[in-house]
Amino acid sequence: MVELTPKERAFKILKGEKVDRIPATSLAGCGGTVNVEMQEATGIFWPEAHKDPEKMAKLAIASYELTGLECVRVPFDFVEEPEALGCKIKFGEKVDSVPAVVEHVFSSPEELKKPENILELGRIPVVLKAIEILKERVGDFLPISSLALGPFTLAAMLAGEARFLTWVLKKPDYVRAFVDFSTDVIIEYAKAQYKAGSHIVQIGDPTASPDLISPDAFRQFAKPALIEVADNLDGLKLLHICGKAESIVPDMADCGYHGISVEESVNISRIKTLVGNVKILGNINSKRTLLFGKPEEVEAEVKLAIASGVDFVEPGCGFAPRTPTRNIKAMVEATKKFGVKT
Amino acid sequence: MVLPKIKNTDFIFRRYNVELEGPAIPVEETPEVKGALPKEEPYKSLALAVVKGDTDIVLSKVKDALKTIKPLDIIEKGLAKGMDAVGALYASGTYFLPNVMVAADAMMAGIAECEKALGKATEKKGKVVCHVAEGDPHDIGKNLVVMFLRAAGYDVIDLGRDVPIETVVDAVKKEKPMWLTGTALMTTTMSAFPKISEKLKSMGIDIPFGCGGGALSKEWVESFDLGFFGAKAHHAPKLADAILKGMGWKDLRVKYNEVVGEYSTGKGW
Repeated sequence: MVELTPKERAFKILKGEKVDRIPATSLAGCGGTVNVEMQEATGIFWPEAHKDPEKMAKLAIASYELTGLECVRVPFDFVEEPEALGCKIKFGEKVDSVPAVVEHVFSSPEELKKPENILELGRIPVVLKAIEILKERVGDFLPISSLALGPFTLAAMLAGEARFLTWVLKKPDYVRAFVDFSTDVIIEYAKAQYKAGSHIVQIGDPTASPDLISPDAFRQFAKPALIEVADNLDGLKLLHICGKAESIVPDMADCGYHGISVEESVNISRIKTLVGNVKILGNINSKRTLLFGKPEEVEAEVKLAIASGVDFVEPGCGFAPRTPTRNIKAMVEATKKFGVKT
Repeated sequence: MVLPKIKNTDFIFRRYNVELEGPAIPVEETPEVKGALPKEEPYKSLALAVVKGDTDIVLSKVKDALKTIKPLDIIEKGLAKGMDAVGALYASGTYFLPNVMVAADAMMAGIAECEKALGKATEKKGKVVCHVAEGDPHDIGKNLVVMFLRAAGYDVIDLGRDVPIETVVDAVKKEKPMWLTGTALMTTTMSAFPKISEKLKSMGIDIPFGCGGGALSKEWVESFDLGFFGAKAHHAPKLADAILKGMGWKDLRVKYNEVVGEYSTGKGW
């Protein structure tokens, strides 16, 4: 039998078909696939690579070339939509600085205004161009994933998280208006990502995590919007929510995504029976094992994750920028060793 | 669409899980709140208004109470007890961040009203410096720590978010706090904490440096001197009380669960 390409394998799994083995990927998660060592090896550094499509694509490809990771993913941060809508972003000057929103723009529903040309604003064109480059260079062989925010998370960024969280109780109509507005933006951006050549769109909704809001609030505010996003996207799609998300896993699985991505606090064997045909991506510890652990510890966690039933071995929340390359390699090697299907 | 006519709708709208879950009970009936709330009025209603996060009711009740009760009593016997209950509800998983934040807003409004009547800020138990690591804009956790400490009567110097190492060290030098806290959500920013610890040590400052937040673990925080891991924001008052009594960072590492009266897994929240 001809061996599957990483792209074929990922597609088959997400579509529910049988494959030869579990892949090692980082299709989803708040962290990206690029670490500091990859920047040093390529001579392409953050923050410039956050703003330049060619550099972004080259670094993404380096994450495959230097580790064997079976995918490419852009961007490396998650503030493109708030930036395009006018939030002030701090890029940081260091090779491990992740761009973050530092000033929020909207304080009431009346102020919400979607620019006509959102796809031309901020770094959205940069990401779309980077996807085009990836499609041309590796798109036949590797799955390309790209990130759009979850509606609840984008809404919180637009209003300011602290204020937004109090609205959940005090001004639910504001929350709905902000989430509705964000839903439209995200659908437009995600569709453009597919059009540019992305194979898999990841919707990352960290602010909807039970670490921040109750499962009830998730069902009331975040879930309907996630369903609307999924309904409007024709391509392969994933939902990532980090933190202690176990209590909302059945709801996540219910939103209409091909796969859900969860982190180490979620017990995979326990949720395996709750998700039906939805695939599980995860959940090697990004913050401890991959970042500070030894390759043997990574291997042990990979073995456990596979035994517990993950469909893709992935870091729980992407790779932290200081994750050593040897640990990413260890994750890939261990997956190839233990992930073979019989 | 034509709906069939059904006389008995019980079997449609019946909640089968009532027996399993028990009926939904109002927050004042939960054991967490019953255990923490004062028995006598008006303290009970004051505390309960904080628990419910209703700023308007807190303000009107405080104004009423101020006619007959000392501002300090209103804070200590009323408002602060409400915050204790909020901490307990958060610990038990009944309350989530939004509940804690609106309760905090209500309580701070109440305290401000009391201090207005007092004509000055209340006497503080001790001084704490709080900050979010350099490069990190996520300040919800830090804000909760600040709020819980203020509610418990501590003087908090809030340095804000994304605070340069030098600013933290200078503030400690100038303010001479009994405790320094640092929070970080991102793995990329937490590396500031061991550097702060180094600088403080080189100046001969030996205060507990409580570090917490999503990216951190107990194991990592204990890899540098002065550091001890803070698991949850609502633990801050009990930790402060222990530090006030003279407990140092080495003891706090060992006796953490005992001090806060809860079991902590040693992982970020």
